[in-house]
Amino acid sequence: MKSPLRIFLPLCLLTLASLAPCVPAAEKNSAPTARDQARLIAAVTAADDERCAATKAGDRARLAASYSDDLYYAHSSGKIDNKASQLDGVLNGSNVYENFDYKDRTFIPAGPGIVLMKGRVLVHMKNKTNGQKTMNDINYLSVWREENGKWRFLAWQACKNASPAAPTK
Amino acid sequence: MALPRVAGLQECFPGRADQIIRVLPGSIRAHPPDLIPRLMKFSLRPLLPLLASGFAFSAIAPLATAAEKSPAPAFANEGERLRAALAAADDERLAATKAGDQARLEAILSNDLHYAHSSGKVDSKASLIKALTARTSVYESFHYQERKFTLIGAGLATMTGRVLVKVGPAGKPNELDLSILAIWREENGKWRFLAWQSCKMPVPAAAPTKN
Repeated sequence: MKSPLRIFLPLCLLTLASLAPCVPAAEKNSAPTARDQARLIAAVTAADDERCAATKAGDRARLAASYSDDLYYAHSSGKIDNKASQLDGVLNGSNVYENFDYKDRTFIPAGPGIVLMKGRVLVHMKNKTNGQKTMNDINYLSVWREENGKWRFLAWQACKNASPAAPTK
Repeated sequence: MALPRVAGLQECFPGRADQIIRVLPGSIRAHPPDLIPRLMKFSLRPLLPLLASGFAFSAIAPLATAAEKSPAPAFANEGERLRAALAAADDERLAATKAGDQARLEAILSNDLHYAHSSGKVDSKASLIKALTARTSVYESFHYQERKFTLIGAGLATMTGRVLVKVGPAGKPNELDLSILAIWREENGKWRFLAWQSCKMPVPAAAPTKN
């Protein structure tokens, strides 16, 4: 009975050993370090700054580069735009965007290549025809996605705040 | 002695099979060629299925983990399956919300929940569950006018659409017509509700068309 055992045990070990490299491979996507996290948030912050700048400038090429082709954009008015109609709205709408004054802009890494952005922003607009200025105080939830190494604006839902905005810090 | 080819071994240890075989007791190599079949006949044969399945699994396992890591699943069929799972998860969320059932809410809501109401109030998981279980907020019904799930990455999906909600203090519900964006995340193989922003639609919707 000694010999069979001497064959069986090594074979068991072999089976385990051949499985071993498969386990670490699955666990390689471990939690990112604090530095990775900071770098990620800096990249998405820069992408959102560029989106705001391109919106204010009314620059079609920069907006098209900033928006994902799959953009879902739900305004606080209830209007829902895709990429083409949102580009048209920003470029040919009745208002120009003068400023985005963020009261809160929080980035939440949600998974591989996906970062949520949420908070509160005061959007200052001016009517192209009569110059009348308006301000929308909105809460928002938004999604950024990394597409071919570039962070692009994928989804947005805005909602007007009922109460007046808190004074600027 | 020529080494037997072991299924799965080469895949996990490319070029290292020789080294592994070398750690086997010398007795295997030293035995006359007919001894191993004889040993198997008497004692190893009942274990063959076990060994075979072990080796087969080790050959398949790397393929399976590789498939799971792929950011874009085969959306044609896989997408349908995932959307059905998401719809079931959201139905469970609505049922647990209406019931104010703490255990079911704990299970379906992500620990990282960000829940922004159309009123401007923002809830965490703890504060939302507290409001629902204490019945300070009672949700009587949800009627989706539209509910669309879009897979946006590995284990992440958006839910967009429009929903008619009856909510308020017990017995005094308000009717809300909401535009919504929500995020679902797969956590340990289970879809959980991660984020929500709703916004009141300016004009009341027509009567509910479907549940």
